[in-house]
Amino acid sequence: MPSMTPRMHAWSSERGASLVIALLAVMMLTALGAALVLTTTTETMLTYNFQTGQQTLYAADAGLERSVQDLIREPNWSGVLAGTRTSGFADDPPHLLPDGTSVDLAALTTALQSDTDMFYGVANLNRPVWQLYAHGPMSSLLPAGQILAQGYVVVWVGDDPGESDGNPALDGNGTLLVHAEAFGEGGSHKVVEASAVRTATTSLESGYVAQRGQDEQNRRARKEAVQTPGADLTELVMSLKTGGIS
Amino acid sequence: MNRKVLSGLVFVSAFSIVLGVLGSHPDILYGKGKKEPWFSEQLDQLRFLKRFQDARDLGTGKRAKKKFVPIAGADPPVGPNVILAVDTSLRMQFDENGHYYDLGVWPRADDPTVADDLGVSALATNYRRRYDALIDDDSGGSFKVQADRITVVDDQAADYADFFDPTRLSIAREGLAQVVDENDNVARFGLMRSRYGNGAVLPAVGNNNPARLMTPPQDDLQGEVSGESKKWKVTVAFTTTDNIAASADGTEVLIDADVLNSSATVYAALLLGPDEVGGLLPAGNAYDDSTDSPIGELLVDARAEAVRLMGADLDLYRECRNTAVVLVVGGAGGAVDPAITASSFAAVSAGSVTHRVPIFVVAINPPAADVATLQAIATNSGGAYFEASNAVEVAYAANYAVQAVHVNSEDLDLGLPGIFQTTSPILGTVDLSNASDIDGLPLLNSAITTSGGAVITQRANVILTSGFSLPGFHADLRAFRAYRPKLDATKALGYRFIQDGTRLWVAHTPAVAERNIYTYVPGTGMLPFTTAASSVSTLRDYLRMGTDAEAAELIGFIRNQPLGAIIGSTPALIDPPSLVAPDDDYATFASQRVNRRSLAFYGGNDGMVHAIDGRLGVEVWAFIPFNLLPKLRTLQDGQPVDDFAYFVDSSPKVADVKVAGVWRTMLFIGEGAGGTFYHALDISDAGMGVAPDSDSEAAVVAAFNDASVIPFQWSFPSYSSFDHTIETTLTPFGDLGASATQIEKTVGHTWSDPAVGQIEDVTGPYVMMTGSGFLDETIEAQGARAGVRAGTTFYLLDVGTGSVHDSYDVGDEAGKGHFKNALQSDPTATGETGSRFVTQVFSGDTEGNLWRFNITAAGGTASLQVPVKSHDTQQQHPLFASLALVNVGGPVQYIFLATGMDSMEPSMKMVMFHMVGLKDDASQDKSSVREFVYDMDRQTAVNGDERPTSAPAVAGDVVFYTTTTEFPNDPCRCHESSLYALTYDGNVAYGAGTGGVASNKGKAKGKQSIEEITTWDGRATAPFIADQHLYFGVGDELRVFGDAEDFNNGVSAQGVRVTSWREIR
Repeated sequence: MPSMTPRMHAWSSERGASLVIALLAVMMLTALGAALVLTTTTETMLTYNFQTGQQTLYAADAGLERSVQDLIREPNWSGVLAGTRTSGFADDPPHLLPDGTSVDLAALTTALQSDTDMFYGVANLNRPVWQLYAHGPMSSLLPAGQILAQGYVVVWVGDDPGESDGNPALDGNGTLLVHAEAFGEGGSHKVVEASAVRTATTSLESGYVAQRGQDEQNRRARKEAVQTPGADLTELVMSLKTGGIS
Repeated sequence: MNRKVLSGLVFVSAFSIVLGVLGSHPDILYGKGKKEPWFSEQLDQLRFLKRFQDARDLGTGKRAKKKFVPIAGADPPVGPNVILAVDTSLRMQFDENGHYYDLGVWPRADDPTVADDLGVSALATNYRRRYDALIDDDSGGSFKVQADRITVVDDQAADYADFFDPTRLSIAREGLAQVVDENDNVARFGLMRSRYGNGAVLPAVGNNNPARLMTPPQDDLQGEVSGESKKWKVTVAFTTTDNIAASADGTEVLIDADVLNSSATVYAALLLGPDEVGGLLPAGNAYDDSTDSPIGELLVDARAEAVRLMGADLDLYRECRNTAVVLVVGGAGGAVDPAITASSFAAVSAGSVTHRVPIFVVAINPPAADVATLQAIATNSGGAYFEASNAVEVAYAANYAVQAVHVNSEDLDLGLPGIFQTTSPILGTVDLSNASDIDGLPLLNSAITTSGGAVITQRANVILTSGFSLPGFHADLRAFRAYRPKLDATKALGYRFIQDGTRLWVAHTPAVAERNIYTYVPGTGMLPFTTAASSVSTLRDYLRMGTDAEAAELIGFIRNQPLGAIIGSTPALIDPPSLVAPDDDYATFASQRVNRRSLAFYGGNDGMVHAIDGRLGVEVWAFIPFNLLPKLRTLQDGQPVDDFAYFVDSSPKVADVKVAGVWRTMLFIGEGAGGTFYHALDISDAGMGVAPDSDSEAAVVAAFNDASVIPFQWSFPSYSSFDHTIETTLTPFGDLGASATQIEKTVGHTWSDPAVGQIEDVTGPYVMMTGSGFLDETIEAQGARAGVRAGTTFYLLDVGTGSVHDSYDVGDEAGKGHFKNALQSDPTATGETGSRFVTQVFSGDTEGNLWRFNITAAGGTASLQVPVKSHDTQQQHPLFASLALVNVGGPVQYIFLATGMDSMEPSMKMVMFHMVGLKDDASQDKSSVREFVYDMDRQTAVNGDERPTSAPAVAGDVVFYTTTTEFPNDPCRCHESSLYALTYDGNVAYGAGTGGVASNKGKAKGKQSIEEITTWDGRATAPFIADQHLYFGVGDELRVFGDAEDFNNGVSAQGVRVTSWREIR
């Protein structure tokens, strides 16, 4: 079982780190499926273990991304941390692994929490208390037939340990840890973890706001400046007849 | 009724090809009642096409009088030249069945026996004769012609006064007169005829006696020529020599286009019948064939007239004043080959300039053998060919010609269509995974992943530009790829996103049969707008058609039209629901629509709200508002440039709202100058059912082939309050009827694009907030309206039902009489920092008042408090455009606005308009503080007339304004666009350097002048900001400001960011 690392707290407040833009789950997973297939195709010279390891890693990441998509739609993350809100990605028992054995989700949760408690100390009320959020076979991340790899994905969420409210079931700063594990063929096992931060803004460039009158949305999110005020602006031009911004 | 196919519209190169079914028409021309009152809307959104008109209209404003003095000798500049060249050979006095319409008025008393024999009423005083199937008589006898019979119409008959209407000449006259009347402010019309042989004079009654009648019982009648059996007289303008042998004698040009009030004179001449002095006289030496129709010679004369007009023009205007010929004929003919002659029209030189003078051929029931020649005339000159069988079709063709000469002269000379951007470009997100460009080539890196395999989303990846093309007034909605990914190992995602601009599509319709066009009829519901019997019978009365056949014909015509012009409608591009979830239910709502295809909605001046697939550009759905059904018929005779008929000319607003506890995506749209209604449609499931990356147009279009996909929700006023039978001069296509409520009568033309939001807190209702717009006082005084003032009321409407939560009438302020007041600008809703709830909304009126409406909610009902006049820009500074609003903490709002509008009539302008910055702290009874005000003073600097272009836009701590400067004294000088960038307190926002410089002349806050960043040739659209880039249109170009290699930066792109990611094992 992986242990929580001392860097975790730093990650949660890390700014400018890799920014993985969330997207529509099925779109993303469709592309992931293609990537899986492509990877499988192009890495035929690699060892079987490496292949399955990569597939399992992709699956872990896919599970994490899927969970982020669900988290976007959650109006309140405290419900997630309290375990009352979970992802729609959840299968029914017996939670079978590729080798036919059954995953004990409660045991996995206990093990993850044990590692965390060991790192932070049980007395630390701000430590993450992991809640099982999503779980299921890799193949369920995509429509039937679009993913070939066998495996099983489990995702937990926990409160930001940088928060000092003393309540791991209450989200006070719009930040969560998302911990995803995938179990693949040949006993492969991959773990990824991410910090997810709720943006304080409404998505100006998304959805129905791509229209006239979007300025009214500034009450919720002042748009970032065009380049750097005080410096020069860069001008580009495009002909409607021929296209091509230059 | 016959249907005529516009057979083979022939153009040079890129002129749009328009193949449409032109329906025939009922008894009258719609144009006679077409001058709806909104031509005097206080705004003319097509004014930018009318540069010559600006010059003519100079002088009524105080400032204008000082700066712009009409040029001596230039009166009247008016606009391009349109030479109406009419075939006046004898065949023009025939109808499509070969019947000749005798020119004489026959007194019954002159020969009662003959009158009785012909069936003239005993009560009649006079009668007219039609010689049916009149042809040359080749029997070798004394007869020149033979006819089946004489059909009489006496003065006791209802159609006596319309006797000549079926003739080619009357069809031509009627259609042309309409177009002259509808465009007399924007074009200089001249009138000429074909050459006559000797002796072409208005004939005396029965001046010829060459006819015999062939069909019983008239073949046995004695006849009327003394001493000759069975010979009948005919009134005809026979010439003693052939028309085609005649030389030009200077009389062919009846009315010069360059004389004062030429269009009015032409109009008057066209109203005269062929038997009236001064009217167009059909004359010649041969009957119904092309042997004596000097069409080639008519073109020679028309070219000479074009040369004269160009040479006589002022140097100032000659450079850009276009000239076209509308050639109205009954066929080909002439000793001179007309097609060869037409080739010389491609380059006509005079006065040191060379221009193309396209010929628009209108062939009225031409012989089939002549069609190829007539088409060649159009092709060789760069014009277009039309066939017509009635005046409506003639008007359509002539309106098309008027549209063509409003293309910039450079484009017209090259045979290119004109493209005009009218509303701001927008950016949205479309699934372009594995998509292709407009040429079918695959887009590079359209689907990319991180090294870890995670898909990288490309948001705000499509630019939409919108406007229209001429001739035709067709929509010009184009999509471009905003940026493309480029591998870059230094970037966290492994890519950077650089400028692109690849053309993706130009919006288009599917096959006519596949179009999903719907309307809504009260009591019936959503109804397919098709020629199916059930639809036709239901719609016939609303379409103002007398029979089902006519209704079906009109429906067919409308379905055949290309996408209609976008003039005042900024599209909205929607993708799957993606708000930060306001509540638990939204997550479910959004997850169910995660694969909803992106759609662009816009309002068109073809009578419809359109939905265009974001990936493929094909129209998937359209909706015709109920109150616009009666007006559709006006489209059959084409769109005039001057008296343009507006339809759905407003911008859609789309919002996710909760209706009766259920989340929905709703679309709200008004009609601008096109009408007085707002409409609400449920688009929650629009775009479902087909994969977002599908490239099957058929599948995408088929997914909308069900009226339930986008159900109509409500209108305000209610459709049931609309009386389609009202037909007055002021409201020829219906108006509010007796059942309309008091509040419904307060709605003016729906220019104001609404704002939408939830009021105050989670318990508050979702409402649509809007004003409306101008409505002529004469309409207010009409019928059931009973003088109720319209346009000055602000409304809070329930998004689910359209019911009025509350309203407030700001009224007319005493002493402010420069404009009729209206809350015409787009309201801007706001609230406190970080809150999505609306507690205030700002809206400006045309008297220069900026109003703040504080809004509260209780018990599910929203209420308006007494509004505060946040600012008064004075009546010379009307507020037409929407505001830019920024909350900077608590309730404090920065407000940016521009006074005036570039579409205001020149005579309405009295001062230099302003860019204004305000700060409002939301205190009740307290006005805002003015942060800055700047004159738009390029008028002084470049002798131009600078005006704002719609609304400003804000990004970061900077507000951007665009303006357009016109040059009324110099119509040939291109409009110039300017961009300004200011900080909130009015200082210059960007530094000096290459590629755009701003300087403020060293003046500090509060001064009166500021320099633009830079200028470009062309009219500017409003700015739009997305993804840290500023976009606006100029002419047929898009201007973009921002880092060329920093797109898709994720700013505000989602509700959750992953700020760290690490593989642990």
